[in-house]
Amino acid sequence: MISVRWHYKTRGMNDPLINIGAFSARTCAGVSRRSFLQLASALPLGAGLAGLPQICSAGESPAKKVRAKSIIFVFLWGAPSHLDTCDPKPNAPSEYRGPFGVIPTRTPGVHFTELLPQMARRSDKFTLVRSHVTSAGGHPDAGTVALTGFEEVPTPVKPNFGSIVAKHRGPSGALPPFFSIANGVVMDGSRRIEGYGGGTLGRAYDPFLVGCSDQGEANIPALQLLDDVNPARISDRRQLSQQLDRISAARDLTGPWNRTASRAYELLTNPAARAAFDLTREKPETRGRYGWTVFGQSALLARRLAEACVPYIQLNYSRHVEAINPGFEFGWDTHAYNFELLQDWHCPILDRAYSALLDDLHDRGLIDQTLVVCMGEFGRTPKISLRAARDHWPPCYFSLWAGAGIEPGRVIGESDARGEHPRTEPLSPLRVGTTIAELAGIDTEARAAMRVLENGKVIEGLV
Amino acid sequence: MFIAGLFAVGIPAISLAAEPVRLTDGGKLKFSPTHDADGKSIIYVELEKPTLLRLMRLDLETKKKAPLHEKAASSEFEPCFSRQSPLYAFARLKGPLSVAICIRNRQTGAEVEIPPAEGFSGLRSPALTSDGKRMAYIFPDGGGGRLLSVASDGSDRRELADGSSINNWPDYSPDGKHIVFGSTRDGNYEIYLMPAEGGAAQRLTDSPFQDIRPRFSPDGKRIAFVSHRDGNAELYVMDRDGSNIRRITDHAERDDYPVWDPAGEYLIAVCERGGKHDLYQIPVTGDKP
Repeated sequence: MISVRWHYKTRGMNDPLINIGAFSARTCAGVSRRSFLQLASALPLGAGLAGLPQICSAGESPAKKVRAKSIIFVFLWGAPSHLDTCDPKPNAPSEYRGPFGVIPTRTPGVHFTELLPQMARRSDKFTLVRSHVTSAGGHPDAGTVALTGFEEVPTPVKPNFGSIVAKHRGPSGALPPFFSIANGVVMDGSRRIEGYGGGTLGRAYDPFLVGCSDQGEANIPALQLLDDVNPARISDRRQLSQQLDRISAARDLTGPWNRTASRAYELLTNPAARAAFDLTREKPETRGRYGWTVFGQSALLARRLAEACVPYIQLNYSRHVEAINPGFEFGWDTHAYNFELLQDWHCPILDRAYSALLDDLHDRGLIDQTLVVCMGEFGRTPKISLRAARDHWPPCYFSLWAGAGIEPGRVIGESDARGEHPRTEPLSPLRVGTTIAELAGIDTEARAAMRVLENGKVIEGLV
Repeated sequence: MFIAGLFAVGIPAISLAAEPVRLTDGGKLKFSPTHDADGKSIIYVELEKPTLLRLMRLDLETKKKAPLHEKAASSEFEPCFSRQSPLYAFARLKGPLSVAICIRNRQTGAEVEIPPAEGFSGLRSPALTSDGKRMAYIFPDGGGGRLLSVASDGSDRRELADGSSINNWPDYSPDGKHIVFGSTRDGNYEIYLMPAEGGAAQRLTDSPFQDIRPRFSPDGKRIAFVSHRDGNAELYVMDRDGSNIRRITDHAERDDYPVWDPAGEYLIAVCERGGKHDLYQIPVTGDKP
């Protein structure tokens, strides 16, 4: 097994190297991780997304008017408490309201908890939905519902919203049309979310997986299959291509790994595509605004992919759902340590990265063509649990919608006094997916032709 | 602007002798610094990789850092040290949403483990007396956090505060006679002082925003804490009776997890600057009551 990281070393003023990976090298003493493939970048170092406009033009949106050329779906996997974040209930009994104070947002009459001060100051940049419900109470199924609009069973599993957008848009140039940013398929324990990918549309529409470290190094899990890559130094694209071709030829090209691996090869050999992953092209101040955390730098990567006109980017807060579990990333499933993790860790990171993402999209003039949806797969119990935490709560949760021409600074839907149920029309994940599709230019007719999001209706007020 | 007081409303500025000093670099997520027993090192928690929290030791003289428990394969966090004994304690992740507290003898390596309850249960916030004879900690139960104490061998468990509210972050006074802690018993997180064996708690703070993580100064006369009362997490110091609150930091980014240096002249804290999390040494000289 190898891990593949991308980062840059400056070899000369205009001659950077990309370390494509740290590969396992077989030696007499065994296997060691000591070698890198190094690739001379054909791109000049410079500000912004040098080379990426070609990708945009190659993947131009359909002729019909499309409000969301790119969608960033911020998936708060594990499910944040709505009461402790964007739907606090300060007048509820103490066993419900939790320990946090509330602060006003820029939306009159709307409060967040004190854990999200930056997001509260930007409520005029998004619309808050407070009346979501879902049909599933466990993570794997609820995750699938959140990402597809439908439960896992009856099979076959329906396609991820991103797969629908990817199929509708078709190839978008050098970059795949659907990215999922995490260090692998999102998981609950050892089980992946079945709705992670193409579903009934086929694996051709699975997301391209890319991870990101807290230092902004991208890694591509698909390339972890290249465990027989010779660690010899490769100094130009031609050599790398030849090496990868040899590996490819030696492999079973019909194998399930091949499609994503092939796309990974293409990315490696396309300078413009590589540039999308290179966060060192951003100013340090910009990178700092997102925060030097996995999620922060991943959010910046998502913005770069959107800037490169990638149609759908699923930005996962963590790969694993579990809040605290040996060997797993720290997700939002806070059956224990809910209040501690939210105030110490998850909310500060989310507050910073989400705010930076909105600011950045505004500053770059991208917000009108980019839709940013932020939500988990359900809410958490309004009543505090025996272990002073919060458990799963499918009947009520929230989402945030920004960009793509959606009028910001509003609240759609309302939960009851304790945040237990919507007071207004319940809004399901199918409504979420249908709304995303509509904003992406996939209208009722197109959805019917693709046989996706059947019977889905848009969320009124967002379209 | 890092130093406090200029923008605080109703909270006076204090006289500071020097600027804050950054003690670590790298910017990775860090939590819960504390001095080890001899005061020559700082033990803190770092998110070494996305799946592992590791206890780190920063040697204050050489500035070198190294894992405290090099072979630890599971996350460990919330360290605390006894000043006058070889004992220290920390939380250790045992399984899915299951956290125990370990009391370890740094000379012999012997460990006593306080296990969590069955199911999802995370013990938290260990605090040792200076002599190492007792440890306070939080057991989440009954919808709140029970404040308990045990002898350092894990025996003689006593309840100091029940679980009718969320209690957290206990810290013993240097003489071991009192405990300061955070609690939601009056609505949101405020800071309270009570006898070490339990009893009536005296409320020290009153803010609509959270006041958390109190830490006694080495002379026991002051208490450092974190408050969101001015818009985000900042460091404050108050006298032991809750009076004379003064703001120590003032920055748009987060300042958190204060702990006093052994001389009581500085706070060590995790400060976020430019999106990076590092340990800083922040002077508070000149404000002794």
